[in-house]
Amino acid sequence: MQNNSQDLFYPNHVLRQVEKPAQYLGHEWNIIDKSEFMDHRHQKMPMIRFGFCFPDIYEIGMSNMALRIVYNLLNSRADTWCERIFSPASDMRGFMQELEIPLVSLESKTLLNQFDIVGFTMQYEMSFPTILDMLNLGKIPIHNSARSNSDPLIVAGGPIVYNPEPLADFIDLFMIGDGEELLGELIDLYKTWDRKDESRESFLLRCAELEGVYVPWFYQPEYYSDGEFKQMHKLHSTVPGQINKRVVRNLSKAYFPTEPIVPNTQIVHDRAYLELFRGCPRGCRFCQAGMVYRPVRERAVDLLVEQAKQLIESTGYDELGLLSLSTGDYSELVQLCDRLLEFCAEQNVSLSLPSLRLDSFSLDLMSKAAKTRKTGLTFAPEAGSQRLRDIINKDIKESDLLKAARIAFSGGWDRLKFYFMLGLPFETDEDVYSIPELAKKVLQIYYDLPPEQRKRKPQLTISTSFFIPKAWTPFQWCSQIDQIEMAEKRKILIDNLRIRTINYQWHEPDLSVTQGIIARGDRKIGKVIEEVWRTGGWLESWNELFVYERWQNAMDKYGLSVDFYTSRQRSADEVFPWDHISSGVTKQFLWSEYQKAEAGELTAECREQCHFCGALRFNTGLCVSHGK
Amino acid sequence: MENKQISNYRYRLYYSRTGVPTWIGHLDLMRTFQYSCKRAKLPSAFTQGYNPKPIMEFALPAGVGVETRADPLDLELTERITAQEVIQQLNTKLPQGIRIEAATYLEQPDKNLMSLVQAAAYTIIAEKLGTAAEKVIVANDQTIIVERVRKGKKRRYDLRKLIIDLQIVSPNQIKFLCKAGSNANLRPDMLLKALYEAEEITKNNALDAIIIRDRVFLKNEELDY
Repeated sequence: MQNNSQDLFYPNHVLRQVEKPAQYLGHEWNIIDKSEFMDHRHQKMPMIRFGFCFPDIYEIGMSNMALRIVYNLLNSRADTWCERIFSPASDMRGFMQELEIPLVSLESKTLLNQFDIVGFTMQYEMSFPTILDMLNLGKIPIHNSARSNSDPLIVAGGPIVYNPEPLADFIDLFMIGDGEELLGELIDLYKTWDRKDESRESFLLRCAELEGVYVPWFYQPEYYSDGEFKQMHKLHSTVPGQINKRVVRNLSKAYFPTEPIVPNTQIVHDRAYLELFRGCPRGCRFCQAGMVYRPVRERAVDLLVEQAKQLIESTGYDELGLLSLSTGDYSELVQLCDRLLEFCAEQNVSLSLPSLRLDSFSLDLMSKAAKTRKTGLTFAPEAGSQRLRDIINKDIKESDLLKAARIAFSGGWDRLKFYFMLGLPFETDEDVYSIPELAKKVLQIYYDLPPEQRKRKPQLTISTSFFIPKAWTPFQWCSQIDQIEMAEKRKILIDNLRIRTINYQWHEPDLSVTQGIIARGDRKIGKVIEEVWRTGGWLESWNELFVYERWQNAMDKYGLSVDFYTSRQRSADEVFPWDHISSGVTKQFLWSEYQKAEAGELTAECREQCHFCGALRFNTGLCVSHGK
Repeated sequence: MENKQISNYRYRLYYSRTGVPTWIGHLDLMRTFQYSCKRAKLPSAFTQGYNPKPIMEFALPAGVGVETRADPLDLELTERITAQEVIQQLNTKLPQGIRIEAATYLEQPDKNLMSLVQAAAYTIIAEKLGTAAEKVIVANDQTIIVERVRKGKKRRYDLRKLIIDLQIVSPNQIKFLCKAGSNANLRPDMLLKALYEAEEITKNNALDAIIIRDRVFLKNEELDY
């Protein structure tokens, strides 16, 4: 029976049997509906239909900054309508299969295969099977080789695009780096494609001429007999041998959405966000984002305050978050926060400060933020011992940590969370034991406070993830520990953190190993991802749906060894399957950082000294201003 | 010294929801109203504490999948504006599907709107629903027991005790008046459950039903539906 008010696309009996049905229905505040212009489609103004796909469910995807930016950016063009598509959750996916309901956009309920361009964001490796699943639910052939001129152009980009090879069989073209300018150029080029006259291949060849575009179809990997990557062959003379990432040079002038969609239902990060800067001056050696987003480019304080006002006015959100890789490093943080706090107090908005770095943590800022609300505080020392923190270039002293904890406890924050990594390069058992020791020292800080400052019991959360070597980091040559070692290290923490006020959380070893396979995977891993999807894996980023056996079986089927991709130490001269994608930093710089790690030497942050990582070539941001 | 004794101004609003907002839960509906009030720049009165929220009170939560036509909702403002201004400002900032249909300024505000609820009127449209209700409810005076599991506990209800009046509008449509509020409350999906458990309609048709809450009756209001 039809709904009497709006066409909701899904029958009521489906909506009554799925969790959070509104996530499939759209019609949120600030949604962009260009259907009224669609009547003219093939007449006056052809509208480019762009389907932005987030390979996870709504409440995760809607929290994502890239989605918010791309959605409003593309829709700011009169000739483009960007719509959103998310993965269904398990219950809805079951109904879609049973009732043969295809995957459609939230805005106009358009089937995925009817779009001109379908774009996926690559946020985390485990979402790759979800990309295949969404293509399939949207009735698009999963292989780029199987697509005809009537299929949409399938593009992808995002923070982990710097090793695109595992998706090379599925995606038509990758966009490397910042998308703000490149997306527009791609749309402009797309409008010149006459699908009747020009083949897909010919059009893709033209796309490959855009700086930052990688069309895997025109590149053929060659391997040694033992499976090691040998080199990448260009299959066409006009495509670039190296694909350089795109960089937005002036972030203050770059597009930023101040009228983001406000979901009808609560999402994971349910607040308005400002993006303070892109890049990170620190250079932690395990961190891919810290390497590939160079150089640091900030937005101006005045602009951010203005954007904050517009955001709150257009959304009505009562919480404002600050987004960047290390917010504490924003050059005018105190001034910015003073002005934001003033505005927030007037508007009954709470300012949520993200995990600040301990060394840049000021009592002043904390107490100011506390006027609005005291939530938990999060710190990321990453390693328990000073030795290991030096190795990973996390320049935090234990005394800084304890001092920050004292300030936090005496200021009334009784919930502290600490993030650590296990299995870092050169890690010893002593390094692992130093994590519970540090936790106990932090607790002791609390008990040393005068009684009037100890109102509630402290709650300390220790969270560990397993280190996963990533492409384009100084640790891309490193061995990743296997599940047995992971379990041993985790056991040390479990045994030594049996304290009532400490809550210990850890990541799943199998999931971490699988992520490791993909993170440094080559094109052969695409077959594995496909096999995992064919054998039932589709939302593998969800612990409860992830099945390691599927990955093991798929690796076996193609005669691939898990250890080859994860625990194998790479040699200095190994050629990587991602070497032809350039993040701006040079392989020489990464190698020298790896050597310094082994020697336990720190590399000062960019503001103090230039280390000639390669990002200087972009001639912008901190690279240009730090000498002044 | 500032006078701390600020008296707020209380308004009673009647909202309808159709389309997408029908499919959000009560907490999400409250959240949506909070953000909408802020967008509308209403001079909302806020709760105290670290996490101030606009003061608003709903008469009766509407379940996911229940449309409303005029559900009461109280708002507190710090400035006296006309009820018409409240309607106009809010209606331009509510998401599609939610509308303020009417509003009045409460001269003598009675707090705790929820406790005033006594009954609700519903319309339900589903295939063969009228015929089934005729047989099971109207032409019969036996108890109608349904079981509902909530927080792991099973509870049994006799729907007949909760239904005040029921009319068959057409073979596919009924409307009825039932007890509502914190003491005794009939959930319309329980009535549908009773009918498909009696095998008078199919479960799928029951789940496909359009459920509309036409009115919520407060204390001292005439039960005229």
